Amino acid sequence: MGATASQVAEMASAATAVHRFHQAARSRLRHWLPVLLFTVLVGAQSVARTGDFGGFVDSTKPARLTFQTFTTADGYVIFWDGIPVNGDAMSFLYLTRFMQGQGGPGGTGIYDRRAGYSYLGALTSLLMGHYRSFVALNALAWLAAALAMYWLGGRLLGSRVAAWTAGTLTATGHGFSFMVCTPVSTLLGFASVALVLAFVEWSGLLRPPFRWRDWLHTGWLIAAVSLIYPVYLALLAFIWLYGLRRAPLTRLLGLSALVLGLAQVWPLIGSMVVGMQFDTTNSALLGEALNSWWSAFLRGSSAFLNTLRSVLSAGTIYAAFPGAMLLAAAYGYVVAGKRVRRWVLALCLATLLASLLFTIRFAIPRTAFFAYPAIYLLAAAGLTQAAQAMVNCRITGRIAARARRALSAGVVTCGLLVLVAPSVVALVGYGGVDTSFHYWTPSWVLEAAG
Amino acid sequence: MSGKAVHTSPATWPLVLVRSVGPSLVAAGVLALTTPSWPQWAAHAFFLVLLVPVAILTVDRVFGDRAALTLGAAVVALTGWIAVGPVPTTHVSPLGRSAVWVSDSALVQHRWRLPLRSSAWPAAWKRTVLAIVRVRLDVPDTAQTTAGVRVVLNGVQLPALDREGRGETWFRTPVTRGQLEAAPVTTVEFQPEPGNLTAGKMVWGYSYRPTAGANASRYFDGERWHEADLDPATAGIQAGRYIVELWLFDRYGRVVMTWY
Repeated sequence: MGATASQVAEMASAATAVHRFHQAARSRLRHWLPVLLFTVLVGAQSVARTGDFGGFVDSTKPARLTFQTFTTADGYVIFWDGIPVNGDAMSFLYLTRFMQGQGGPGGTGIYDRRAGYSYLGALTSLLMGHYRSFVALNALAWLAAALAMYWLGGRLLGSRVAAWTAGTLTATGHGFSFMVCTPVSTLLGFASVALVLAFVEWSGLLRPPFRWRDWLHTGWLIAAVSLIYPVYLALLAFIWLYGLRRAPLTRLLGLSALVLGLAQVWPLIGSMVVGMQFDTTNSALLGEALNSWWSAFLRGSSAFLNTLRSVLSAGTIYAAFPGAMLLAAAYGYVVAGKRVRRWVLALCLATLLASLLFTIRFAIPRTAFFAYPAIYLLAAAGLTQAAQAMVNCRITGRIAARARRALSAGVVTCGLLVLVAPSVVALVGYGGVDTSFHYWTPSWVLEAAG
Repeated sequence: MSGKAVHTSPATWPLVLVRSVGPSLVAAGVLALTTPSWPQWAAHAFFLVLLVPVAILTVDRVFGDRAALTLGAAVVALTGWIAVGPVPTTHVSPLGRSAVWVSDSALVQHRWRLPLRSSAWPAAWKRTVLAIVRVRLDVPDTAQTTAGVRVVLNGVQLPALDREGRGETWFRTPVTRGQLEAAPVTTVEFQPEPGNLTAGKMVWGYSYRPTAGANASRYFDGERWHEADLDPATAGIQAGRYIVELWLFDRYGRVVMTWY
């Protein structure tokens, strides 16, 4: 019953084909697994956060913001087809209706500069109505940010575990979860930070040969972000801080001119051609913050330092990233390579500085959340390194390799559970976390009020 | 971006740019054919020039031409839909409008069913150091009080309510526990002083969600009560409730209880 040579060859070829099929299937699964898992995570949280359970709705209720008396019983909300949404969303609805031909350009509100979000909303809301479409748009942006962070984690930290950790932290990020069901452009602003950073890294912008087309493309991309959220300035600052000693000055100046120039086109066209009002109430708040810093500076070094101290203790950063996350990130900073350290430092400076400057006027932790790519990457590096250290220690060194891998996965999973706990706690109805994230009220205000 | 990087070679750049800008030109043309208003077309044209091409260009470079073509086609199709298809409508519950006084005998009544027999009520008062009645009135900016509008709590007239701050439409006055407990259903009434119908109009709206109904407030026009329509002088049913609130604060200024 011996097989002939041709039968053997046929069997070998069939076995190779099966092997190839398995390999291709494994590769495809590996490729799509993050997409699948992050879609489930983001989708589940988005559904859980609709209506009354939205962070930006629940945290404005009188029972949450116990010092505010400006809201109604339902909080700072407006009802869209009976669904409560944060009051700020009305400006975007007016703009979206205008883009869909349902009204004029007048009286659209304080978010005319961020009209890019309403434009996207106008395109996508044709199928599901305004509220659901904005939520879907936010959820898609969140998913894209998680995937971008997954990619960045793998690229910058050189580890699949770190990539998974960074992606999962983003897919459960409290800022995203807080904002996902709010039809305002903040979440898209959060997502655009990770997406632009991933593009900068992917295109090799800050590495030779510094092709002009990459710089022009990136400049255009960042200018497009200016139509969504003012975070484009922080992105520009990051490129300067990280690229100053790497990239030619001509490229940096060219990119800056392009970004700053293009960012002014919409206010010009919007007001002169479209006829919008560009209410600057929000910009005035930033001006007030800068004025407050200037007057503190003029009062002398002691007053300035006191102001600085009160701003640093105002909780903006640690309400955005609770203690365990900051600890993991701090450990990650210690163990990360020099390049990663410089990258995150530049990003932290670029994103947190604006937030802290604004804290003198309002302590709003969501402005600090724009630093999440840096914090989450560091936390991922810290967690990965901690798991590695545990696996390599003398006690665990004696157990089998498979058991050590399981132990490592267990350490990372437990660490992740601790890090995502605040976001999950907020999801299941403990609103205190959302309230802190919305508007930090330090304890010294309580004493002063008494 | 987890797949293989698609670095565009210089030779294909013109093609990539055409793929990026082409859908915008088509979409702008489609929209123009349906003669939209000039501001609407100008706004779309702006985003089609500044936002859409860079999105398609990025997708093209990172994910390849098929993804870019799909995105471009989606933009054209959706813009076309805005131009000719049905667009969604969202009903937004109005936040607040004013109810005019129709006669000297017009009267507005707002009621709270406070939990006077519940243990929560005395417990709340153990912490409370200040209770205020707040109301939103549409009055001239120069008025510092609700002078011209008589305010009565459980049958006892209150002094004129003070404006909370410059430019604010909120007015408030402190009240005592005894005043609140004087009747089983706590009632606040507002009435114009005779001959002074423009002194201050009641603001109504959704101080509590629309589905909660309007039964906390009602309007007497001199002849009969209106419970479903808070502004019977204006055409249409004006639902919601008057913005009349009771706030209890503790010694730290924190809210203990609020009634709407």
